[in-house]
Amino acid sequence: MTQKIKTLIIEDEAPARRLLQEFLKEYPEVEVLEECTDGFEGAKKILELKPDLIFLDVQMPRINGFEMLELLRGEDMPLIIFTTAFDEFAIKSFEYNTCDYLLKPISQERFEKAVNKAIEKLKDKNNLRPDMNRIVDEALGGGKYLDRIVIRSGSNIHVIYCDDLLCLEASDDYVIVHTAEDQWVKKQTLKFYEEKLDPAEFMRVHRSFLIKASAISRIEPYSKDAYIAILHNGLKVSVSKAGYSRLKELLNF
Amino acid sequence: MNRNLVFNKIFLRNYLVFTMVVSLVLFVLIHFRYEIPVLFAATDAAVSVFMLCAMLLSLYFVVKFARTDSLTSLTSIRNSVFAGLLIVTAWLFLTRWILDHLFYNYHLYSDFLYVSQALRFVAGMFLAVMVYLSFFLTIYQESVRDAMQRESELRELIQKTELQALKNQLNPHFIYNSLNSISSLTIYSPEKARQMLGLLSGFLRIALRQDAMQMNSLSDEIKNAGLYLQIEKVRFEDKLSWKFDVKEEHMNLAVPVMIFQPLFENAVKHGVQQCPNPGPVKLKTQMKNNILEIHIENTFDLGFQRFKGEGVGLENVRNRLRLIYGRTDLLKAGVRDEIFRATISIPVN
Repeated sequence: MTQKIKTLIIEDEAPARRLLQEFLKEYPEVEVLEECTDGFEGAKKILELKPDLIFLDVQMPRINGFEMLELLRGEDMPLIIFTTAFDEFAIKSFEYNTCDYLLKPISQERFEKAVNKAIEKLKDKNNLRPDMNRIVDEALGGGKYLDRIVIRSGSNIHVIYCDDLLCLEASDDYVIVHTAEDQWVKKQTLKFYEEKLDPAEFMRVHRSFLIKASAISRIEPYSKDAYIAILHNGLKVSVSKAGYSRLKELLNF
Repeated sequence: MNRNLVFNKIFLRNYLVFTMVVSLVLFVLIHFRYEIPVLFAATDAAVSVFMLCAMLLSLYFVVKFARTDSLTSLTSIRNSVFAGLLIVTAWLFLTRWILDHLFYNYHLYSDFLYVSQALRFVAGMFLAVMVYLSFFLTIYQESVRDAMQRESELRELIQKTELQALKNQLNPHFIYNSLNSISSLTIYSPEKARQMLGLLSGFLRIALRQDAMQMNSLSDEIKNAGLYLQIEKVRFEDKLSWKFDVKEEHMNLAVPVMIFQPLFENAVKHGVQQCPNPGPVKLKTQMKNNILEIHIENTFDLGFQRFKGEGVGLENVRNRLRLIYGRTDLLKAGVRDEIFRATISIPVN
């Protein structure tokens, strides 16, 4: 094999990075292009360097491993070996989706098994890769409701806290995220957010709208079976008949 | 549930039935034993018994508001006896007055009324004692049940806190990550790896024998915190630093064992790992009106995290302080100007 396997290590702790580097010395065909210390840097380097393989820590500062992967949805993805100390929820998701992961403390034996398997997979172009979108969707939030949404626009990454969210709007393959000041476009489905945001706060009021109940300033009738909700920032949102009765139930009016 | 018996429907119904039965017995007695005509006997029985039973209801409050913990004390018994005597005497005069006025020209009955005063008093006292006892037993039973419920709640809190404390000290993340660091150190710095194994086992020894109520000297607790931070420093290297400013005279004061641990774990997690340029984790002690205040602070970068109120760690500290000192105001925590500050207050006797 002439071409080397381009690899990134995305891990915030220096000793853990050194350990991976040390184990990788046994593999001359694997070339570590760069080490990244958080998900932010990781996302940028993946887009820039197009690696074949990454070692990805789950728990990292700024944005975690899953949030980073979610940002890269739709891009050409490298093969991923996750590393994590203890995260029952993530591990369940990995196992369910037959994705490779290394538990810290990482043993050399286990490490070699994972890397050998990765090399095999990379050689065989037809090899089926695990569905990353599904792993990420399942693992985001760690079994709890999401408390923030990470969004990439151009080369910038924004973190939007659910406290600041007003409304989510479906638009083709995207979701438009409305805050009081801004709008952001995110490659995700509205159904995903309907499941992952706290239903005590967020409510599907229409086929294409998920709104935060506390963001509603007033509701007006629009036609026989439809209503319009006006949010605190003036945004007008369609409310269907079913959405209206759901709102009635949640808000008790 | 209405805990006031007097306003409880079922109780009132039973009490009414009881009153009617006693009236009937009295009627039979007066009519057949003393050969008083039916009209007089019935009126006498009804007026006497219904009035007494109505007046005796007030005994409930005498029992109820004698404080639960002194229910059986002498004062309480003396008060109850006094109240009983008062009620029965008042009842005696009142019934005599009423019946006398109703039937004043029937001498036969009037004579009977006057002759039977002593007997009425004894019977009235007997009834008063019975009613009193039934109130007493009900309230006593209630108070026992309350005490049992309080105790089981407290026991549950202790168990939960202890378990949580144990969980917190043995944060599996921390242990696995430390072991991973040691594994790495064995390759390029075996000396340091050995040293870190020593630190980690020292820390685990303290964390594992922990019991939520146990106390320790401040100096030992400062040592434990140092041990923990030294272990974490291997992972975070130059990002983690700390500054302890403890007055010498506070060193021997007693504080709950490992009480700072959740705060230091938070400091490492939110103040070091999540911050690009963290400042040192600081600890300072101060004495204020016989209260030892321990201030702990760390950087809290709001760029990529939010302070969402008290999490498990802070709640755990608060619960333990509540268990030991019975107060909920001994922990203050919050974020201002991107600095997280927590103050633990330890009452010193």
